[in-house]
Amino acid sequence: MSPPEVPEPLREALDARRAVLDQVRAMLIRQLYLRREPDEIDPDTPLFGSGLGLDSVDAVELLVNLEAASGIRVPDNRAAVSSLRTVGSIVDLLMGAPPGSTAVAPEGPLPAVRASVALSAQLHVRCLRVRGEGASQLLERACPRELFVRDSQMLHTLLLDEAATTAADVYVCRDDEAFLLMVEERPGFSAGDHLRAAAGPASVEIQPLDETHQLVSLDGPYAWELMAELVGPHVVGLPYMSFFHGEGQGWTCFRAGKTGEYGYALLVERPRAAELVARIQELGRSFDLEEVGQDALDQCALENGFFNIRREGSAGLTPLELQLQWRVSRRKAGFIGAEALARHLKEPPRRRVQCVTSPGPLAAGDAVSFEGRPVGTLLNAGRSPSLGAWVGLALLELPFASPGVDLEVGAGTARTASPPLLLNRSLLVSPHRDSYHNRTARDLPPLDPKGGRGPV
Amino acid sequence: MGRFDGAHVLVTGASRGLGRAVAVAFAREGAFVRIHYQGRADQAAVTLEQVRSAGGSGELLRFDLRDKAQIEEGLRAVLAGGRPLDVLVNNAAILCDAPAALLSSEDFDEVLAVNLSGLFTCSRAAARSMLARGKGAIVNVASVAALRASPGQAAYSASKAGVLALTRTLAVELGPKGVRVNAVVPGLFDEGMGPRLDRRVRERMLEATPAGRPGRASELCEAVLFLASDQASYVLGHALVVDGGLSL
Repeated sequence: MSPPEVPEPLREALDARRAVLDQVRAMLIRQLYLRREPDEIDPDTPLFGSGLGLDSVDAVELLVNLEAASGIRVPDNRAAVSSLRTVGSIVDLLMGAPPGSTAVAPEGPLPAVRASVALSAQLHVRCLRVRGEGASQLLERACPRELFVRDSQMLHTLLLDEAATTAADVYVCRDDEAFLLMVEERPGFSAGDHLRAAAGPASVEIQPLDETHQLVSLDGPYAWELMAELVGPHVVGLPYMSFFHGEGQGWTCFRAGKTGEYGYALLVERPRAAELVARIQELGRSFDLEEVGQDALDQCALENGFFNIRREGSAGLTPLELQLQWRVSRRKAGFIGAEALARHLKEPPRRRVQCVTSPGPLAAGDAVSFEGRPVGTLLNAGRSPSLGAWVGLALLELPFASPGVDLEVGAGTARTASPPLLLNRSLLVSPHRDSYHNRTARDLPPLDPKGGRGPV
Repeated sequence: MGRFDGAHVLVTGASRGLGRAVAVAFAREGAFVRIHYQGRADQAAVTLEQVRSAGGSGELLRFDLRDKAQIEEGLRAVLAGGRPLDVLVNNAAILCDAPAALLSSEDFDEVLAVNLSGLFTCSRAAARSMLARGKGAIVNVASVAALRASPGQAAYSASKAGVLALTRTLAVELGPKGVRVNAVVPGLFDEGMGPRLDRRVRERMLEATPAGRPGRASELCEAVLFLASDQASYVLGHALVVDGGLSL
């Protein structure tokens, strides 16, 4: 199949962006000593946390190098943090203007997840405890990246099937000699059965915690403050992707989340769950706490570029197509799906997921075209009350899977964009300075990253 | 008999943490305590309740330390009843941690505005009333971040070092008129900012603390009460380090 025709002005723009992307990839590999090939670093790869694992000192060095290499001056205001979130956000910065976002303004009051705190029952998350002599070995076989995870820390990875398509989105939590797994599964897939089959006769206990425990989450720019009142101020110092047990309290508290805001999950013993939830609700009154369903969290995940196994993750795609190579290691062999993944790597995919925004309605399943020619499909879509726009995730032919491309979706239009699409308030709220209760004293900037991105 | 029977005390940032503990400690010694807070009315109400349970009395006082007019109005309200202020404890402070190269100018300015400028404006307003009587004590809460390098805390450490310098200068200016100005320099405590620090930072600080444990709020209160009391009548411009040896 010949590559699709791309008209000249767009071709130039895409080539220019590609050149900057390659420059950023090379800089990241050099500076962070990443053992990765440039093409392993997908544009939407997060820089911090589980992504490329940048820390704040790396970020300083990266900024200095970027400024030296490009002559771009990164603003020294609070909004500058939005420039250093994903590989793509650095490219945006160097390109001089944020492409893509069609956001206008939030409509009506912001959802609780974006403005205060939201409580949700994490019914879709399966929790498993894996322990026994063969536990480490089993998880090494199941996970497509190396299990470098210390006690009390969490690692974000995937479970693949033999065809190397994504089957589950997993946090692996090291708990002394055992592992706690928080798993979101593709419909029809059972992580428990998958692990049991992989374990074979090895001495591993795989214990589902669903009957004995309940998982709830608190997400929002002030989730830390409610959590501090609930479990004590030390929770504020809990680093991202780590957890601790409430001594004698019957719960374990994880700092994670897929909304781009402060996020905490509490895994609580069932007999104590009602009391804990009641306490959260009681404390939550002064935080305007709202109880939200999975749809609200899924919408936030979409706006912030978090992978959703129940939507795009169920489309039979590989991590290469899903921009999830950061959760996979090319140097690791022997995991489930490794052989299929290696085959896919020999012939790199011709399509990739790409975030899109639109002023008009978008729906999963919509066909996407460029100048009348079909170029892809929407896998996930939803109305963003925070952005006042529709947001979607499309699977597009590669030349078009890049920010700043105007496309037709149904009867309307959409533009490809680089997530995260908003400047989350959590990036601007400091637990050592701020409080939900005096937030009116603070002039929180708008959520639209256009307000803060770009050179000065 | 309490050490502060009938004394009129203002503690800033007393809605929680060490400020709350200090307010309650003064109440236990018989003081009337003005409980300053900025945002957490509900938390400040808890402090007032604890002040009353401790046998003292008090009132809530709200102003924004970033706003000079509000501070001055707040202090005017404190003094309006004709009851002079005996003790001011400048405890309120904010943190905004980031490597210096990534710290925004707004955040730097804001930390300085609250921790240093706000403290100055409060002290000036209180000092004027104390000078009129020729009596009073001001205790500033600094931090070990003012004494040793504190990576990630450029604004906070600069503000706290400023507090120590201000303490010495005010001590010399006000000392001859009977107003004593001193500072406490807390290290890692189990209340206030200590527990809220990044777990990794806290662990490093604890390893560097010869006492081998975080301080208890009561241990800081003892130092504050001493400096505010007549027992410290000959102590001026001193920075009393209460850090389990962390700064050594």
